[in-house]
Amino acid sequence: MELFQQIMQPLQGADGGAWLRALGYLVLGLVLRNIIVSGMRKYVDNHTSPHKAILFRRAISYLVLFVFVLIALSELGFHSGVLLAVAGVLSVAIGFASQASTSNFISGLFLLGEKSFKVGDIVAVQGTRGEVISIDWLAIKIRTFDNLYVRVPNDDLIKGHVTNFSKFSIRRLDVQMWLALETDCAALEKLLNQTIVHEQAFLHQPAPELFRLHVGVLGIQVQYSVWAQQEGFFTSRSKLIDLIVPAMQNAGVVITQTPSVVQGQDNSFRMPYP
Amino acid sequence: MLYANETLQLELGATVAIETQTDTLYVQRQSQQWRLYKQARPHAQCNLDQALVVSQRIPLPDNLEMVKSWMSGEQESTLRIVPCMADRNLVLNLDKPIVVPAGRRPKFYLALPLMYQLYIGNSKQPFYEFLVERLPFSWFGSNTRRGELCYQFEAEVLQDYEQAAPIPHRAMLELRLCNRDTDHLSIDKINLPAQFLPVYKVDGSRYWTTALTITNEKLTDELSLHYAKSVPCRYDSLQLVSESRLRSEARTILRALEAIIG
Repeated sequence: MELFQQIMQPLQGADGGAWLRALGYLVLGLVLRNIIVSGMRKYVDNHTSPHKAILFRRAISYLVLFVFVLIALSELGFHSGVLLAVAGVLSVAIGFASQASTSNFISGLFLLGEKSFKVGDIVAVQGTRGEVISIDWLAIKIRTFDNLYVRVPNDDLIKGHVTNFSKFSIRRLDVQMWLALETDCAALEKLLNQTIVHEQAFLHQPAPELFRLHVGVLGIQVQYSVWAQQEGFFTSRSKLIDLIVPAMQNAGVVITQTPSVVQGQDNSFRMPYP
Repeated sequence: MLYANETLQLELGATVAIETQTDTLYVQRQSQQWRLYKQARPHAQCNLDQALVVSQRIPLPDNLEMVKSWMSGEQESTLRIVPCMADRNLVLNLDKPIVVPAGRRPKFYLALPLMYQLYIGNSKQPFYEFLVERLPFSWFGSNTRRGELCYQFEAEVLQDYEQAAPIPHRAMLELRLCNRDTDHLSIDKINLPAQFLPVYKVDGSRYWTTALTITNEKLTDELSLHYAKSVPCRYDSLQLVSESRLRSEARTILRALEAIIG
């Protein structure tokens, strides 16, 4: 209580002129902040990634405001030494009370250095998949494909797995199928390659490949892998299925029924047969 | 700078058809606007026999897919069709690798596929651009992490450019490979920086681009690329049709070996 009274004492001695000057400094601070932020926007936007630009703009903005608030308080008779001492005490108290925020803040600094993703990337974090719309000091914000707004604390990103689907410009499309044992895989590979060769969505290099994965009770398990641009990936995948399934049916290739088994955590299969 | 190549004047309601390998493009002038339609051909009918044939005063077929429209609020009657280099690098996969012995500098000629741009009125920005040939995308790089997306094309490697018949949708390139290393240089695919190359029309009949020299520097993994200032062939008349899309700050630039030669 005494500390509070000690802090508030200068306010009682401040006259109208001091209040006006303090207000003037605050307005000046706001104007200066806007000028500096808009001035640096052109440079920062062109020279750094979008999320760094956002963070730099916020940091500069808060710094300028903090300095002008300090000047305004000095005009009202506050001594900066007392203010800093109070700030020190408060920061320790706030630090204890907000360990999670501190942890998130420090995790945010690590994330910034890692450059694992940027604003606009498509990521998957702890079962949430969507577009990164903001990277802040404490958390990132994700817009999911069904248009939900998800806030993920930076700490979770550091501790957990993050999959970035936009890091590289190309991506592999995999279609897995079980085929009858009589299938001539070499001929099938040729057929599939001829089917997609005219489609601009699929890359010629790396070349498409038909992997022979397993021979089992259901026949031969194969995986047809085709490379496509990251942009338009889902459209390309639909197009690939639309093209290859009718082509295989026309050529008399028998796609055996998909196994009705559940994949376990340990990647093993509970087979429906002994 | 913009240099018109083929300029057409269209009356109100008139339509022009332009053939490519895979589609027919229809450009129709309407009151204060232009419309672009596209009609795809079945794969069996895709060929380059009629490529770039421009038909005027034709009726617009029914059930066409409109690609886009140009609305300027003015009555513009001019349509220009201008060739330019592709908007991505071009990758040539050689059937058989070429080996350049140490200390040698052979030269050969390639016909590079061109893109075409449509300009309405006096606009400096194209309304639409298209590839005449169907060029598939291909990844060029040491792995799927490092590299770039390019167009893949096929071309014959010629020792003498006079062997090649003029093709309206290709521009000739003189490529010189200079191997200064002490080892042979083996090339099985090559990445050509099309965006840095201009297009010239030589003697009113054939398209050319400036010569390109690729030098394999001694004992390093770097290649230097040198762009010449003009076309290497003999000519009576030379017209710059379109400038390069990108400009290199120097005529010689360095790139890693794997970025040019696979």
